[in-house]
Amino acid sequence: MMKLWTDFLRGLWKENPTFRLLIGMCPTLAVTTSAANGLAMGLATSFVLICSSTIVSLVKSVIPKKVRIPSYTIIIATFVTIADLVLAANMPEMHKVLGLFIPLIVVNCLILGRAEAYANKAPVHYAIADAVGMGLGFTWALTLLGGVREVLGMGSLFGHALFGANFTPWVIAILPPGAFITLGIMVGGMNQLTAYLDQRKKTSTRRTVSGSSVAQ
Amino acid sequence: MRNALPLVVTLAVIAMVSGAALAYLYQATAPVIAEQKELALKEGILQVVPGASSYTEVADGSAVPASTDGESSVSGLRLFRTADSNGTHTGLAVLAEGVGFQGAIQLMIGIDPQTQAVTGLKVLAQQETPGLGARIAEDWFQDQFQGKSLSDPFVAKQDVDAITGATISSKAVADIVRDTAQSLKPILVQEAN
Repeated sequence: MMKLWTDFLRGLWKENPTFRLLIGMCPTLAVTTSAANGLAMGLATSFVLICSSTIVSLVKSVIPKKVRIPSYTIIIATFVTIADLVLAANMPEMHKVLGLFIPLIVVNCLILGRAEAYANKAPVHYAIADAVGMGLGFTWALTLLGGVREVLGMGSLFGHALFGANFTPWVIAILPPGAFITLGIMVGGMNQLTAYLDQRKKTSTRRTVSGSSVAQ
Repeated sequence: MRNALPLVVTLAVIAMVSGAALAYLYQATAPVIAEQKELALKEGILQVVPGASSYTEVADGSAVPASTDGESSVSGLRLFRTADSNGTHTGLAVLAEGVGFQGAIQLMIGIDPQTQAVTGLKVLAQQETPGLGARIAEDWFQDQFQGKSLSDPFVAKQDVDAITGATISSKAVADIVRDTAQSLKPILVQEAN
């Protein structure tokens, strides 16, 4: 049970695909022009990731090592096509927005990466926990990135205007350079925060250690 | 070579299962997707012509002559004649397709043949940059075409407000409207009578 929990939490923060592992950068930079786009892309990717990790984990023993990559690619491409068709049939508005980027989920290295690094070694429930964690980690990262860029570049969040008419949007934030700048600042901030938290953890342990020695 | 057989079999089985699953799903979703497209088309037509409640496609719509100067930005036109609930002819709706910044832009343009004016415009499909060119689908941009005369110049940044940072997409829409108006001139003369 404990391991399930750690597998799940790993993707959310410590090994967050976007901010820590820096994988799947292509959709991250391309679609995060608004919070809603980031959220939808994150969820679509999560769906493909969870399904493909499950299947890869189930069939790992019957796939010869030499053809594992093409096999995983077919599995992933199948689920991407499923996501594409289902979105087109049930959520045409969302499909219109994401249209171009959905087929590109196939080449998101996050998905093949998790299949290769984890799902083909782990039992299926761990693989699912890992995929759900990674998917949610990817989703919150993309939503946050999209949110920041949308606020700066359009003065709105999830399509709702935040500022009055006097606000001049920084158009660069939703242009491609804005993606790199925002991502860079966020990765830097994330590193600072992690370093600070580690430092605090260390000092607090030292304090308890010295405290107990004093008590002796 | 002997060792290759399991590899081939594995890949073949995976590909077959995947193919079968997708074929099934495609069969299941194809009618729904087609219906959604039809619905979007209908919604577009009824939205750009005020008072319209039904429409019929003009059969020779695809035979609309292209702009005479040969440099038309419009690559395909479909023409619809609309009617209100009494069956009275209310106007025309044109589905025009042209080239945008990254891909095709599909516009539904409503036209009043009597006054030769645009009654409405709606972007049905586009692949412009999300957050920039994609804003051609926002109301304020689409609504500015309403009431314009077909003989207007339709030049972005002059009589058409452009989107900041997306001049090419704005210009593409204005060009498509202008060239559509050009192509439709002979038909509009007939329609007005």
